[in-house]
Amino acid sequence: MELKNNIRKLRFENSEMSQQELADRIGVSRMTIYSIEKGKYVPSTVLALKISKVFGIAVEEIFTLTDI
Amino acid sequence: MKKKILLKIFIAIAFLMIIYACVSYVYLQNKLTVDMASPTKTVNTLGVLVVPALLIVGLFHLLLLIRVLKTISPNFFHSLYIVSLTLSGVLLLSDIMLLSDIGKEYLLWDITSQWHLLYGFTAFHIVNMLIGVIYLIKNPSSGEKLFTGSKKSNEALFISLHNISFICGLLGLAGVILSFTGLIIPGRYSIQLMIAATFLALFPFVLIAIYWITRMSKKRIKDWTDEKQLSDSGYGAMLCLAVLLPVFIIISIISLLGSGVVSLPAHFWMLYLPASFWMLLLFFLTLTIYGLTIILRNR
Repeated sequence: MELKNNIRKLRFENSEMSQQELADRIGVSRMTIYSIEKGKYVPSTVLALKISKVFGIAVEEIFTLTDI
Repeated sequence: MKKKILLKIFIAIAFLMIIYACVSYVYLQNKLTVDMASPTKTVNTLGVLVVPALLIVGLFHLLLLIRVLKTISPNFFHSLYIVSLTLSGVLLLSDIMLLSDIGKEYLLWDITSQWHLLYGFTAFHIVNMLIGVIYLIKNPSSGEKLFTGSKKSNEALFISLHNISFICGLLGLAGVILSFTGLIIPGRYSIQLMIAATFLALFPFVLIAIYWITRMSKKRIKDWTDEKQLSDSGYGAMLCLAVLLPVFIIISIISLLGSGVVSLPAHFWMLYLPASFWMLLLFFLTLTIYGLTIILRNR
C-alpha cells in the first residue's frame, strides 16, 4: 500500500501557494511539505487534518491509499 | 550607507593586520637565530604588536561568523564554511601561543616546524577571510536578528546543525585515529594530540548547538522540531544504535584480549585500546552517523 496525495495540485489551485506558505500555515518546515508531496514522508493524522483544513476539503480528497 | 563604509574600512584594516602579521613572521624568522642571544627592541616590539593585530583579525572572524549565522542556509558548503571559520578563529589563539613558544625556545632547539605551523595557520586565516569577503558581497544583510530567526531560517539552522555534526564527527574521527596510530607525530604525544583534535573538532559543533538551543529556548521543547524532523532524529538514533552496538562489541572483545586475560605478542600493541581512544571514537562515530542520517533524509 502506498499513500498518494495531490497537495502540489491543490497548492497551485489555491493561488499558487508556495510550499513555504503552506508550511507556515500549518506550523511545519518546508522540507516536511516537500517530503509529503514526494511521498517520502507519511504525515500524522493531526498534520493531515491541518492540511485538509487549509484547503477546505476532506482528508480523503487529499490523500488516497493505492495498491503498488 | 554609513554601515557599509564602516564595514569596508574594517575589512581593509583586518587584511592590513594579517599582512602585517605575515611580514612580521618573515622578519622574526630571519632575525631569531642562535646568533641573537636575546631579542632586540625591534624584534620585541614587532612580536608584541602582532597580538593586537591578531585580535583585530579575530574580531573580523567574529563579524563574519555573525553574518554567516544571520544568513544561514541548509547548503552543505555553508556549514563547511562555518566550521572552517570557527576553527580559523580558534587557531588565532594558537598563533599567539606559538609565537610566545618561539620566543622562548629559539635558542634551545630547532623551531622550524613551529614556523611552518604558524605559516600554515596564517594561510588558513587568509583563505577564510577571502571567502568571507566574497560571502559578504554575495549575501547582503538579511535584516534578520541573530537570536530571533524566521521559520525558514530555523529550518535551515536545523539542517546546518546536522551538517556540522557530520563534518565535526569526521574531523574528530580523523583526529582520534591519527593520534592513536601515531601517523603524524610520535606516539608519546598521542594523548596531547587527541585532546587538541577533540577540542578543535568539537568546538564548532558545540558552538552551533548552543546557538540552536538559545534560539529555540523561547519555544516549548515540543515545538523545537516538527514531526518530520523528530522522525528523522528517530531514524538517526536507530541507525546509530545499529552501527554502534557491533562496534562496541568488537571494542569490548579487543579490550578483553588486550587486558592480559590472553597474553599477546608485542606487535599486537594496537589491541591495547585505552578508554580515552575508544570513548572518543564512539562519540565521534555517533556524531557522524547521526548527522549523515539527517542530511540524507533532507535531500
